[in-house]
Order: sequence, then C-alpha cells, then structure tokens
Amino acid sequence: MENFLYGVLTNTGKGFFTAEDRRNFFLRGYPADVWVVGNNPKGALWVADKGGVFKTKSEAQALVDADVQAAQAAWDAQSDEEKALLGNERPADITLP
Amino acid sequence: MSTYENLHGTRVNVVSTNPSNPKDGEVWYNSTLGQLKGYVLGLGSFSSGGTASTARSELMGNVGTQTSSLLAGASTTNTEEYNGTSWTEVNNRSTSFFRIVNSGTQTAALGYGGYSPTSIPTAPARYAISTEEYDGSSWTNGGNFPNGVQTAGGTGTQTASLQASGIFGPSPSANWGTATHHYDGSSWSSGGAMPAGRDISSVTGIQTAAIMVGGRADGGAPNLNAVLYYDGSSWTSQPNYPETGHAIIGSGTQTAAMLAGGAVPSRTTNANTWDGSAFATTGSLATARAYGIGGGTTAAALVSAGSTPGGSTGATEEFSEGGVEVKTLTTS
Repeated sequence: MENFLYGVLTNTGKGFFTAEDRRNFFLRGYPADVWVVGNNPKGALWVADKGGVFKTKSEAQALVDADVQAAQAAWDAQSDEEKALLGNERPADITLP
Repeated sequence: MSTYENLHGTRVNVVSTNPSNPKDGEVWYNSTLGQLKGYVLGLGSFSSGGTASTARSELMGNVGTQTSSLLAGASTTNTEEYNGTSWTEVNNRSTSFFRIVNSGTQTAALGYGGYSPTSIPTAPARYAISTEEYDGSSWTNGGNFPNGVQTAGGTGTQTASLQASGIFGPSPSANWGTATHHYDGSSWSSGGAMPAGRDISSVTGIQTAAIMVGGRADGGAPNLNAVLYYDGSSWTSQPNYPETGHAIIGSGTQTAAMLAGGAVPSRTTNANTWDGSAFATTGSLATARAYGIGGGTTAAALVSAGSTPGGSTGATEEFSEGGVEVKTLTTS
C-alpha cells in the first residue's frame, strides 16, 4: 500500500485543515493546489470532505511540475538585476513524497 | 544518579489499564501493554487560517497576535488586517519595498527598510530609509532610518523597536555591519553592536529582551544556526538552532519563542519552540515557506504569507500548543 494519497483542493482559509486534522494524518501543501495526505481513512476522508479530486502520484507530480516550470520560466524572463536580488532564488524542482 | 522516586517522592505505579484521571506529569507502567506511559504535553500543531487577498513574500518581522495581525508591504503597498478568521484590506502604505521589516501591533505597527529593484527618490541607492507608522487606520511617515537597510531583522513595539541584522546602505558600499538600531517612536539611535554581521535573521521579543535566530553570515553565506540574546545593549550567545537557515518566521518572546519555516536553504515546513534554554521540535507547517510574517506566542502563533517553493503565498497558518495527553514514553 502506498504511504500517501494525492488530491487537488483549494485552500478555503480558516477551517480548511484543523489542528485535529494535523494530529490525525500527514498533510502537506504543494504548488498547483496539490495536497498530499497520509494514506489512511482520516486522510482520505479529509480530501473527500473538502471536495478534493484524487490524483495518482504521477498525475499530482505532473501538476506540480507544470506549476514550478511556469514559475521557473517567469523567473528566467526576469532581468539579470532582478535575478540577482537577494532571496529571489530560481524556483526549485519539487519531488512529491 | 537520581531516581524517579527521589524526584517525585513516589515510585512509578504498575497498572493493568491506564488511569482514568491522570495528573499532569504522572508516569506509570502499563503491564498489559508492557509500556511506560506518561500524561504529558503533546506536540502543538498548525491549522489553516484565512488567506490574504494579496500573496506576498520578502517580509521580515512579527506583528500582533494570532487574532490581530497585519500584512503590509513587500513589493506592494497593499495592507491587510487579520482578525483571527479572515483578512481585510485597509489603507495602503505609501511606499513598497522588498524585504521590509514590520513589527508592533495591528493598531500600532511599524514598517521600515527594504530594497527597491529600481532607483527611488526616498532611498539612497535603493536601500530604503523610510519608516512608516500604522495606527490601525492609516500609515504616516516616521523618522528616517540612517542610510537605509534591507534584509533586516526587527521586533518590538512602535515606540520601542529593535532593528538587528541586515545589510546597510547606501550601495554599492552596502555591507553586513554589526550595528543595531533602536526606534523610540520618532527617531532611530544606535543600539548594541552584534558580535558579527549577519542578515535575514529572525528577531523576536522586545527591544530590551530579544532573541535572534539564524540568518546569513557577513557576505551572504553561509547560513547560520547561531542564536543570540539581546538585553537592550549587549548580545550573548545561546544554544544553536536545530537547523542552519535564514528567513525563519518567528514570534513570541525572548524566553518563549516560536520559529517556523525558513530557507535551509530550500523552504522548510519544520517548526521549533524555544523555552529559554532549549529548542524543541513541534508540529510542522502544512506548506513550506520562508520570508513571512510571524505573530502571537508559543501557545497561539500565526504564520502569514511568505515565499513557498512555488512562489509567493497569502496563506496563513495558526499554531496551537498541544494539550496534555497520555503518551508512551521511550528513550528515543
């Protein structure tokens, strides 16, 4: 069994995930509204309750890759002066767990 | 070596089922499970808060509490207030700079320093000298910061603020000086010099009792894990932070601080609390981030906005400390 489930959900703000959710299952947010949760009943229920769309790991990774690549293209299009700004690092590739 | 009996005046009870009403700190051995159990404080955790309408990063500092905070500036003049549930747009700042420092409260905040990618009339060679004060309604000019500063750490109140760490202008002679500065509500004066220059450090507490965590060393590298205390005039070393990193989002006091996220160098979800003597790992952020705004206390902290691996965010996370619960005690 896989350790994680993958879903696309929009963060609706307060109450989107609670302290109890965080204690009950692994939860991590990524670009492209991709959320990774622990593969257990409470994690799955959270995705379903929030109206999330389940994805396979490869589908979720593709969404994240597309978002990051868009951010990288935007960064690449900046002037050299903007690129040199402290803290303005080129967005890094992300590998989902 | 002392024993549990010497410390607590009683031996560890051996029971077949967990007690129904244990006392804080009580320890027992569950013979059925073959486990040492304790009624101890559990890990705190982050939950989602309201999302600001304007995503932003390049922020430094901490403002207000979990139910009363402020986002202002950083590549935008947009200002938003948080009420514990949602963000509301209010009157804008008059200037926008990257890596601005905000401190104080929602009704008496301070914003200063920063960097402009383009030349601006109010900043000598792009390092912001302007200080703006917010009264809960609008921004007005305060006393100028000498020569300008960016990537600074800062904390305190509108009338007793501390700037510590940063790169001082004007460029191109900008440098990671050891100088710190105090603001008294109208003008800046010199504070106690740090042992060494650094920038993008997390600084929390008040002007006369602050803690500084991490940052980047003089010259921009390497990342640091060094921790310093400030008493209003001098700096002293404390135990190192568990990670080396900069732009860690801090809040709380000198002896009860929350540190979350940061660039280590990639954005992290890790969070730690400081109790005045040691750091302890606590529940992690849901979204990795750095360069955001902190607020609140170790019991009820706020992490707002910041830079995620995918770009700027307006998302907010609220930290609540763990409750006392039955836990299995191990040596690890």
